[in-house]
Amino acid sequence: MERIKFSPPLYKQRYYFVIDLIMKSQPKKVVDLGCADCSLLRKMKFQQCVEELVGIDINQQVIRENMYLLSPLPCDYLNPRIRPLIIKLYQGSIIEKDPCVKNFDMASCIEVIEHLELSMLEAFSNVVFGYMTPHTIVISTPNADFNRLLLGLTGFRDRDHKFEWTKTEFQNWALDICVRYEYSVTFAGVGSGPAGTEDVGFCTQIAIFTRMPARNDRWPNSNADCDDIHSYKLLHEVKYPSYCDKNIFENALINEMTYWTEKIKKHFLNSTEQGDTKNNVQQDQESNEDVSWCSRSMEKHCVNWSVCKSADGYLEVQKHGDTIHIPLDQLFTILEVKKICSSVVRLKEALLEIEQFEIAGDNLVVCICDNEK
Amino acid sequence: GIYRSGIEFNYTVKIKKAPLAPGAAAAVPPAETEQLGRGRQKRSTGAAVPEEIITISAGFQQMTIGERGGRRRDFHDVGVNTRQAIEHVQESKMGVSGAPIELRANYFRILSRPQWVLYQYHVDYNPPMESRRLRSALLLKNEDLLGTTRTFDGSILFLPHRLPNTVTEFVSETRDGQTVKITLTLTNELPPTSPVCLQFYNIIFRRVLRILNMQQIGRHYYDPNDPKNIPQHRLMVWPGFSTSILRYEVSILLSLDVSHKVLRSETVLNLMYQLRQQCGEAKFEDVCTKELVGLIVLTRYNNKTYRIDGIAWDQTPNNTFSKNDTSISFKNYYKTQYNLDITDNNQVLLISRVKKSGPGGRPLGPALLIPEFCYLTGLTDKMRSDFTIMKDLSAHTRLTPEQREQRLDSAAKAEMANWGLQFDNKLLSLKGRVLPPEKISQGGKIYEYSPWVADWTKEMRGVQLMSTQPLEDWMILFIRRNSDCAYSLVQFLGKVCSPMGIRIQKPIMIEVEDRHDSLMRALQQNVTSSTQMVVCILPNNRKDKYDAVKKFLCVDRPTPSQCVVARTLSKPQAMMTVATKIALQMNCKMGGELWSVEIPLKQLMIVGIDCYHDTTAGRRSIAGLVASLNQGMTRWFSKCTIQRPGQEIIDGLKYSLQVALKAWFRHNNCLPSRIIVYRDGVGDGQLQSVVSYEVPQFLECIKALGEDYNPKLSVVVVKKRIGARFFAKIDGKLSNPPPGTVVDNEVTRPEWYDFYVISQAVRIGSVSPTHYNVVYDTSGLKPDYMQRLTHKLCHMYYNWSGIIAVPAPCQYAHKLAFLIGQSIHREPNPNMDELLYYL
Repeated sequence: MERIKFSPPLYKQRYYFVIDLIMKSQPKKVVDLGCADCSLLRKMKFQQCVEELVGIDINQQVIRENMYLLSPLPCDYLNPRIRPLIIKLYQGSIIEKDPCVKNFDMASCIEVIEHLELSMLEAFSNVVFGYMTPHTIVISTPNADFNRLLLGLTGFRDRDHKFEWTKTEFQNWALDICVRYEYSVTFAGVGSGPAGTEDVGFCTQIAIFTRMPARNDRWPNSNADCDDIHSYKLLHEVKYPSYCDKNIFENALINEMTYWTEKIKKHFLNSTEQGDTKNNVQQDQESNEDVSWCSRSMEKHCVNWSVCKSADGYLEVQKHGDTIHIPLDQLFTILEVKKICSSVVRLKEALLEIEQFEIAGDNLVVCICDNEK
Repeated sequence: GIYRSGIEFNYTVKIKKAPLAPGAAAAVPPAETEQLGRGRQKRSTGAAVPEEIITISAGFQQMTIGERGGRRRDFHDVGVNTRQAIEHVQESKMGVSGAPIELRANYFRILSRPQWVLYQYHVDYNPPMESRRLRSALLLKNEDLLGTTRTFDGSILFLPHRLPNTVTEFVSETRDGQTVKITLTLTNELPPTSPVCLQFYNIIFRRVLRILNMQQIGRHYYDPNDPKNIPQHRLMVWPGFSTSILRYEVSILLSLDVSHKVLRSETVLNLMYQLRQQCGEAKFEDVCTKELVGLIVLTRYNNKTYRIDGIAWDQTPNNTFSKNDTSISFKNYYKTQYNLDITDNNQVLLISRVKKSGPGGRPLGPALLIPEFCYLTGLTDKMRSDFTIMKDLSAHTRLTPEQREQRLDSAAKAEMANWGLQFDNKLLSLKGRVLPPEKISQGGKIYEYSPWVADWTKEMRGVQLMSTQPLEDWMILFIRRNSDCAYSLVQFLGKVCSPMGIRIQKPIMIEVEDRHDSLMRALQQNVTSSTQMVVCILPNNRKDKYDAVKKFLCVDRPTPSQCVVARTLSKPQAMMTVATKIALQMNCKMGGELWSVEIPLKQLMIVGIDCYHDTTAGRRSIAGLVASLNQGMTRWFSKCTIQRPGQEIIDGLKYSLQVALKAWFRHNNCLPSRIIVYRDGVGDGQLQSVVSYEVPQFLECIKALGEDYNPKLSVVVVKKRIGARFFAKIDGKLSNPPPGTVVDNEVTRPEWYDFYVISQAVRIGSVSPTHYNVVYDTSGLKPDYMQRLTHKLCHMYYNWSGIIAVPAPCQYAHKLAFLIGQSIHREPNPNMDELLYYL
């Protein structure tokens, strides 16, 4: 018999499994029970749907060593998230209650339960299913049936494992949980053995528990009496920059608007300074101006419309004397603006609040008088 | 020439280019770290770890992270001890002349620090294990023995405590059940002052910056929460700090400087769109390569910086690469790994060559990056030459001495006590000296400049130049649109030249059409061997035209030339100034001399060397060497070498030095008895290679001229981009020290013969001192002489009627290498060797 080699490695397959689940169910609040070196959290943070991410581990050393890996990257500041994200790491035991992880959308508990003494498992179930009551819980553990396929393995897969369950044992435990805490469960796994060993199941067995919809009504304020007992110790908290932060939002908007208004201003100043249009065209090309322009007169309205072409599309602006009117819906065609503001209405509201911009009707008004002169 | 620098020459804003992070990048695309297991056992609560141990351990852990690449780059050139070989500075390397001045420096004393001793163990595996990860995993399984505080790089283990036995043996087991015998042998005990321990202080300090939510980019830390935006250019400046804790002359100091990181709030993909729009499809590949190659990018998904080395025009996100023996497309990879969607499937990919080698020492292929996920950092050359961008930037990056002090104070006050480190809360006080101003002699007259201004433009007015070359057979080329400019230039040159003593005749006026080939044809037809000077009035500052003119007149038909952008000549009120500067420059380019200062040493040849690293043309480096030809240091010989692939830059320098010595011989009928080499362009961490490769080559080169030729040689490494800043308290205000300030104690390094000189004056911001490190010296010259000579040489740069920051030969060498590297890309004609054509 050949040694079984998983590709991608089994631990990665487990992570992908959880990430897949997040992608499908789009939870906002996620907790990783037994987060260890935070590597699963590091994958989870890339999921844009997640707004609160919590990791809990009994070993504070391992969290302290790795917690900065969860800090925002420089690019997270250059390209803030649309929705907020806060990451908190606690040192704590998952057989103790703490209100900070109550009622999450999802909890993961990957390769953790087998490290608990069987006697602690009851407390674990009680805390997770009876108190935390996340909407979805994904629990993985080794499948003891599979061990006979792992060459050279004697005993458990890890010295620290307190038990390794067979498929039946795991499923019995899970079904019992469902009955007691009103959850439903589906079973899955990662890491298949060679052909012909299908009956053994996966190397890692996984149970996905989902809270019964009716449960909330019958378990009102379950265990609310424990809510003022904090048994976890907060080790690290980090807030990601997002457009939900008023400062970041306003700054981004000011930057983007200034970029475009300066660009438009520069164009009009140049074209008035240098009457020679032929010359002008040439200059533009030579100075590598990254916005090209063409103008046309609208005879009926006696105003000048200019079309400003950019990488993002076209901007049509209107000239009234020495002011330029840029329609807001035109601004909203710029990808970046679209990302910062979800709608034209929001754009207008925001611009009205920022002092340095002048709004007339549905236009941003830019004065092209030369400030320097 | 005037072209690049114009009126505002010497106006430079120094924005440091991001260095590649040590051990940047991994596979294609960047791989993640492997890991072994998950889930931990609940520890017995009795074994509470004391807080102090935890902090040290955290530092250790980081050190291991930093050492992923296997070797840590030493950016501070620690361990290069050059002073011990220089006999006459064993006792003191301090000068004496000048007026004493009280200074402050951006260094902080360490009041208390952890007094750990580190124990260094060699770790041996039997059977030998190749994988570093496995070695580490096997060793660290024995946490009970080693404790949680340790650092291990694969073969050397550092522990803060001593194991009971000098040699410890134990057996560990791999996951496959293979038993491995591990032997730990104590090899060293490191006292708290050892470089390794100092390294830990640095780690602690950086860790604190990280806790303060500073972001590491390259080597320094920046504050992303307080960005300075320059939206009109889509630029963002993050304020930050560069820090290092090192052993200085008398004590261990924290050196802290304000640093700025320029970031661009757009992705490479955005920039590509813009470029395509500007230049059209046909020129896109060319323009894009020019613009992007050499830039440092940040990726969205990890904390790494990459240098763009090329563009993979045949690769798109739909292409696949193999990972763990399966093939996956880039698009899918980023989706599954980071949940990142690629919106443009037709974008071409960026290539970054990764220096680091993969597992088992196999070199890794280049990393391919997705432009959409890459953010630009730093400035392109094009931006650097854009005056408005640099002006807008400098508003944020140029800090007055007082602003600087405030920023530094805030960082030094960061809560360090918990970490066992404590710093003084004031800037370090030290003593410096201010050298007296030099006397400038010009055309028989001698004058002094105002010490604080360090500029003699005014004093020069109406004084004849030291020696002049007549302008008799010369020409001006221009396009019709600029004919007014051309005639006005001729008129003004006529006015300014005679007081300087330059004889000037009417030039040949040549009108050309505004086409590339028209200008070049006119040059070919009109420039003869007797032509003394060619002036080209260029309609704009497009580089290709300038390059073509320079290439033709430096290589094909060697003739001094002067390019002027028409806009420079468009303001009538500035014409006198402009014409004066152009006249001076042309005179130098033709072999004239402007002024001199007294150089007391006889038979001395000064050599300046600088390098230009070409970011585009196959990353060739160019070394410029400039050597004096006379006693007054007013005439210079120059040679430029282009590094061929696989060739060391020193090979070219050796040849250049040889021809320079021969040129000296031609002019002086003897060989110089003293040679002083000012070597600029030595990067952080490259000092060792200068000492152990370049200096012996210089010696060899000298020896080759004759067995009995035995000149005294000094080699001085010149560094402008350093973290040291000095301030003087003047009228109760923290200000820049006056020009001529010398610092040669406290913040120098005990193992070097080094000193700082502030030669120049700046009007805005904090002045940046220049660091001089004499790495080889058989001259026996007293340190005081060396310092004064160095400062004197800063007066001799003819493109600036004032004192500059580095000795003139360094600046000449810089200009030379820059011209060749940027425009000519070929070795210039030897006929030009004795002219300052590169000004």
